[in-house]
Amino acid sequence: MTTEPTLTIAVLLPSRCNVNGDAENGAVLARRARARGIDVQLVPVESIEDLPSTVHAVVLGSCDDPSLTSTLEALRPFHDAFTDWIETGVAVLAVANGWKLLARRLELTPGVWLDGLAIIEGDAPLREKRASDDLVVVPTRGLDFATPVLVGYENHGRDFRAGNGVQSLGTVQHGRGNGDGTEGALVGPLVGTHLHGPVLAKNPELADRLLRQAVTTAGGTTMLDDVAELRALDTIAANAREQILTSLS
Amino acid sequence: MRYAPAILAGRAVRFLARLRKPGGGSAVPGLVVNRIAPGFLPATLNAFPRGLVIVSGSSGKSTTTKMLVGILRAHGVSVFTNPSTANISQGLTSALLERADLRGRIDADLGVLEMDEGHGALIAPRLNPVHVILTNVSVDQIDRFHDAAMVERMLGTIAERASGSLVLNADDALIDGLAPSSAAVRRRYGVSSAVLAASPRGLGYSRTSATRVDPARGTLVEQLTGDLVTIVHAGESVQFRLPARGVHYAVDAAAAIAGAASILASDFRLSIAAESFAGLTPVFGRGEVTTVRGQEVEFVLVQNPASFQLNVDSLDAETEQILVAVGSDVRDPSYLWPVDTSRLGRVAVVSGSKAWEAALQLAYDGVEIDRVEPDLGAALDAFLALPAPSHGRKTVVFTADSMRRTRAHLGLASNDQDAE
Repeated sequence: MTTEPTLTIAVLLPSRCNVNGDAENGAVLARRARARGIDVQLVPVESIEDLPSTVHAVVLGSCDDPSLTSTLEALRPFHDAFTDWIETGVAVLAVANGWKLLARRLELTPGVWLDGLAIIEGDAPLREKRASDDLVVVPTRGLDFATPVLVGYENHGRDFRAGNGVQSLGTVQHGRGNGDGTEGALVGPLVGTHLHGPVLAKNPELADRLLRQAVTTAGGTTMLDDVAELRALDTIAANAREQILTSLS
Repeated sequence: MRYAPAILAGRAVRFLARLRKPGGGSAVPGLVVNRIAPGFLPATLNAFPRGLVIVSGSSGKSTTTKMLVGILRAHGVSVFTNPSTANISQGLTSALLERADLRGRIDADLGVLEMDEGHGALIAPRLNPVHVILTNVSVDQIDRFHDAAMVERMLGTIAERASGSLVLNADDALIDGLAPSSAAVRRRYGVSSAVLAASPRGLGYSRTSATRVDPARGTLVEQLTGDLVTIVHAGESVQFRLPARGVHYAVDAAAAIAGAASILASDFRLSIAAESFAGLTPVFGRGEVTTVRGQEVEFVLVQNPASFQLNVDSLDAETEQILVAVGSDVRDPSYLWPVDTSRLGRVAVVSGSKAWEAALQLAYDGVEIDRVEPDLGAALDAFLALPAPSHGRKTVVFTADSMRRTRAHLGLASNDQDAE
C-alpha cells in the first residue's frame, strides 16, 4: 500500500572498503527504511559497471592503508557520479579513508601527496601517530540533533584540514577527529566521518538524516515515522553509546 | 648455573602469584625472569636435543599445537609444549619455569611452541627452530594487527628462522608465499575443491589461493562430514573423528599431520597419527563440551571475524540456547560487523563489557535477544539456570577475555594441564 518510491542504496567497493564494517551502514539504512514501509534495493557496487542508473543513497567505507592507492584508482571512474550526487542531493556517507580519498589531496607517506577525487575541498595530512580510540563528537548545531553526542570509534593515520564550503560534523569531546578540535565534513548531502564501523546503527539520528535526504531525492514524502521495531534497535544503540561513555568517564 | 638466580626468582614470584589468586598470575613470573635474565627464554628454547618447533598464524594455532603434540607423543617422542594461554613471551617463560631445572634445561626431546604472531616475530630472531608450522593470515583485532600485510610480515620473520622445514597452509595465498628464499623444505597442506566449495564464505583467509594441494605430494583434507574427516597424506588415505565439528578443525588436523610427518620423517605412521585424535580433548573454548552445574555446555571461542563467521556457520542448526559474550579484549567491536550472525536466530543472553555493541549487531542481523546483561558472572548464572534446552546443548560463544572470566567464574580447569 506504500506510495513511496523505492529507494536505491549503493554500497561502493564493499569487498575492499569494509575493514571496520563500514559498508554495513548500507544495510543499516535499508533496515531503517524498510521498517518505515519503504521498499529498498541495496546494491553492492564493485565497479562502475555495477552502478545503477539512479541511486538515492551511497555508502563508501574505509579501505586499509596498504590498499589506498589501488582503492583510489578503483574510485576514479566514480568521479563524475560523485559530482552528480552532490549536486542532485543524493545522500552520501563516506568513512575514514573512503572519505579522505574524496578530498583534494592526501599525504600517502611523509612528504608524498596523492591527488584525491577532489569532491571535497580539503587536505588529509599524515598524523605523527595513528589515532585509534573512542571518538565522541558534539554535533554541530545546524544538524539539530536531540542527542548530545555522536559516539563511535576512530582508527586512522591522517588528519583533515577542511577547505572552502566544508562544514564539520561537530566538535571533538573525546578522541582526535580531524586533528583541530573538529570532526568530519559536511558538504551538501555528503557526510564524511572518522566514526567508523556501524556509525549509523550507533547514532540513529545521523542515519535518519541521511535517509530523509535519500527519500526527498527519490521524490518521497514520508516523515520517517517512529516505529516499534526501530525503537527497540535505538534503545540498544543508546545503551551501547552509554556503555562507551561510561568506560571513558 | 647461569640462569639459576633468575629461575629461583621467577619461581618465588609464581608461588606468590598463586597464593594471591589460585590458577592465576601466570605471566607475572615470566616478566620477572625476562627482566633479570633476558637470555633465559632463547637459551632454553634452543637447547632441546631434537630441536624446536614453532606453530603460529592468526587462528587455529592452539588446536594445531595440541593435535601435533598428541601425534608426536603417540609416536613415543617426549615433548615440551606451552599452554595455549601462555603464547606470548612472559607467559612462555612462566611455562618454561614450571619445567626447567636450575641450569635452565628441560627434560624433553623436542619443544613444540605455539606463538602469538606479534610476540613470535619479536623473539624469533633469537630462536633457532628446526620446523615452523603456519596456519593462516586473517585480520585480527583492528587496533593491534590492523592489516593483513603487517601479519604477513610478522609471520615471514618467524618463517625465515626455520632450518629444516616450513609447513604451510597452501590454501592461504599469503602463507604459501612466505619466506620465498628460505632453504627449508616446504611442506604444504590444504583442503580439496569439494571441501572448499562446501564453505560458501571461504575459510576466512585474507587471500585464498587459486589452486588446491596435490594429495600425492602434500597433506589434503579430502572429505568432511560433521566431525568425520578423510585426510590424504603423501598418497595414503586415513579417516578419523575430529574432537569437534567444523572445517577449521579439519584444516588444523592436516597442519598437525603435515608437521608431524616433517618432524618424524621415516618414523612417521599415518595410522598412529589418526589414532591419536581419539584421545584428544578440544582446547578449552574451541568447541569443548563440558558439564557445568549438571548441564552440558559447549564453549566456542571467537578470535577474529573469520573465526566468528566459521563458528556461527558450523553451530548445530538445532542450537536453541546461546550466550554471546564480547569482552574488553575486543577494543572496538566494529570489525565484527561484516560477520553475518543471522543464523543464530535467537540468543538468550548477550554479555561482556561490549554487550550492548554486540547486541546492536545481532539485532540488526535480525537475531532475537532475550536479555542483555553486561555482568558476565550474572549472565552465566542466569544462562545456566535456564531449563535444559529441548534441542541441542547450551552454547557459549565468547571472546578471549570473556573466556578467561568464564573459566574463573565457573571454576573450570585451565589448559595448563596440557603442558604436562
